[in-house]
Amino acid sequence: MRWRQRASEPPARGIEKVAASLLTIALLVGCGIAKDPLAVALGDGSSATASAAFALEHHSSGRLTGPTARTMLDDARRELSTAMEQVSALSASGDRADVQADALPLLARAVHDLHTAADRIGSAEADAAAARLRDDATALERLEKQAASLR
Amino acid sequence: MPEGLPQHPAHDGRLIDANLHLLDRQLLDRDGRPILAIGDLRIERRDDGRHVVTQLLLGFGLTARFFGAHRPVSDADGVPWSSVTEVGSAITTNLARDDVPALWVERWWRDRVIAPIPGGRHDPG
Amino acid sequence: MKLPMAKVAGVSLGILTAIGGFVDIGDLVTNAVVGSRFGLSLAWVVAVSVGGIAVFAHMSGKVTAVSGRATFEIIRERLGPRAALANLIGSTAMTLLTLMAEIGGVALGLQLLTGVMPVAFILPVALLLWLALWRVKFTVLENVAGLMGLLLFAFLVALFKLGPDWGELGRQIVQQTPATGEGPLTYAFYAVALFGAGMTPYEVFFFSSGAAEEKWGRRDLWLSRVNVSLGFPIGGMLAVSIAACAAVVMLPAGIGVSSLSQVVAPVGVAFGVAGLVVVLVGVLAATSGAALETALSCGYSIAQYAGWPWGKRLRPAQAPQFHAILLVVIILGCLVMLSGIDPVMVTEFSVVFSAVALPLTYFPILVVANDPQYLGDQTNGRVMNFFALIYLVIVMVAAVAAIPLMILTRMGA
Repeated sequence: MRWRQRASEPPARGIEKVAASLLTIALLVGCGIAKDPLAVALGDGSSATASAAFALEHHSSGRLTGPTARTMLDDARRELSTAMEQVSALSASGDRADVQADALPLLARAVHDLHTAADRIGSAEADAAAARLRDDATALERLEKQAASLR
Repeated sequence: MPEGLPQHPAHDGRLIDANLHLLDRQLLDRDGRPILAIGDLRIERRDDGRHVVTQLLLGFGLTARFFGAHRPVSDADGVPWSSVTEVGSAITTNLARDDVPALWVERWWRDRVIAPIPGGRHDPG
Repeated sequence: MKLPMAKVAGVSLGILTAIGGFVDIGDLVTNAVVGSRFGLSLAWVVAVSVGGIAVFAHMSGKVTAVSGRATFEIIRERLGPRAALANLIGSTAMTLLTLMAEIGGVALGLQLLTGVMPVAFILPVALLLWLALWRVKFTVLENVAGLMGLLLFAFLVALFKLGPDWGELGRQIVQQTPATGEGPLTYAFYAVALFGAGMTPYEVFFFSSGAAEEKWGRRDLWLSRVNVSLGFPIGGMLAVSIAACAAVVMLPAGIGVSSLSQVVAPVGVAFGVAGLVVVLVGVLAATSGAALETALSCGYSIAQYAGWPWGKRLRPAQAPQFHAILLVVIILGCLVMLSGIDPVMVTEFSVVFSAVALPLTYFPILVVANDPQYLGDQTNGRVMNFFALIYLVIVMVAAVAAIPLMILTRMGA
């Protein structure tokens, strides 16, 4: 069947080239549209902190079991520290560097509050700890929006 | 009847396409249970010059082909054509499982792996 | 003439398949993630996947019921052993990945009930799953997992209890664009992920082999239609209710779902600890059911390709290689999950690669369902073929787009 192969080769190669170029263009365009890693990390941090606050509050009000609330707190802790690592590892410049500089102390505070909160679960101070975490989450969310708008 | 084919003495026989109706089909034992897939046919030339299918060869020899070889074919790799009772969406035979040498692999798995585990010989549930 | 009980059991096959297909760990996580970040603007994807899987599951059930031959057997015969082997390797790899995700899902559910780390549960869960596959009858497995999985209706009931703004939910469904700051690429990624989660490839093999296990004949085709028109829409409804609960509780709280605890939390908010326990039992039932299904699907596909005897209705000694496969896949799944890998991450990968593997499964089913040699006069009508072809195009688009989207959005970050 060799003669059949030779006849079909030239147009096939042409199609392959077109497809490859289209895919490359699409990927490059896509990279342009893809989310800013600083905003993503801040979003993860804010979500994790809010999740921890949620766990504390709803455990106090008897809506969540102990194991579920503790798992939520553990997951939040992990997500928050990953977010902090990601933000500190970024090499940002200009306005983004300013946002990064603001973000790091906020994240550090959130991490600290999360550790304190994990000890307070089930106790009388749980709601106060949750409220602090909620403030941290709101602050991180504000920074996330700021980072997202810098494009 | 397709044009150009030589006439067959048995006019009331059924015409089947070896590639379409036999190859890659499931072979069943006399209880209707699957044996193996049909991978090839052994065709022999009779003294009067006619070619007949003598055996259905089982398995695809993919393991051997994967290592770059061709599987050596022996009589034990197949079942005689004479044992076939029905050619439908699967090929039924009148064979008992113990009559099929090619099933040694299954017997190995059964005796060495499955039967030793408690409950292996029992009905489920 | 079949007894009524057998018919009831037949309907359970559809319900179990629906549950396995629409509320396994992949769907639980993906729907909740989507609900917490996009509201219900991706609900249309669930509707599309319900239609798609209904069309293809019915075709594959029909093929088995009418021809008496199993799906992969026919694929081998129609495509030839080498093409069918490539197909087998691809789809088995994806199903194995899904099995690992389900084992992880069971462990996560147990963590939420007991507080013990999930990795501690992997070995006992794997052992129990294998024992069920070894000794328990197919119909019993179906009925128990299927019925207990119905506890997941807790999501739907919780949604009502939470008293959401129905108008707002309806607006999100219809508008199909997220109000939140998510970009078009992320939207597209999650559409593909949700589609892969809903139209899981192993469903089709399980459904048709299950039909053979239950000895369906031509007269049971109505059963296939009932299962398909009842089971999958129920599954889809449950999937959307999971997303809706996340949209109502997690989205306003600024929480993006990333773990199983956040998936079930809304039910706790609605009904307290009792509701949470109920839904967790449902999650355990659904994920273990899906784990059994995926393991069985691997066994069915490989044994049918090779031509070996298969099926739970045979004694293990009568189908030794089939049971050996079940044992091996459970061991493999167990070993990988014992490494402590995050089950949610495995789930996310399994869902994306399910989308990639979809054409491998659906294209051969369509070919076979049009073959008069196997189906006689029951081949697809023009309407069925029309829908099947549309879905084939959708499936191809999703399969091609899945990995680029995954890379570009960094797994939907």
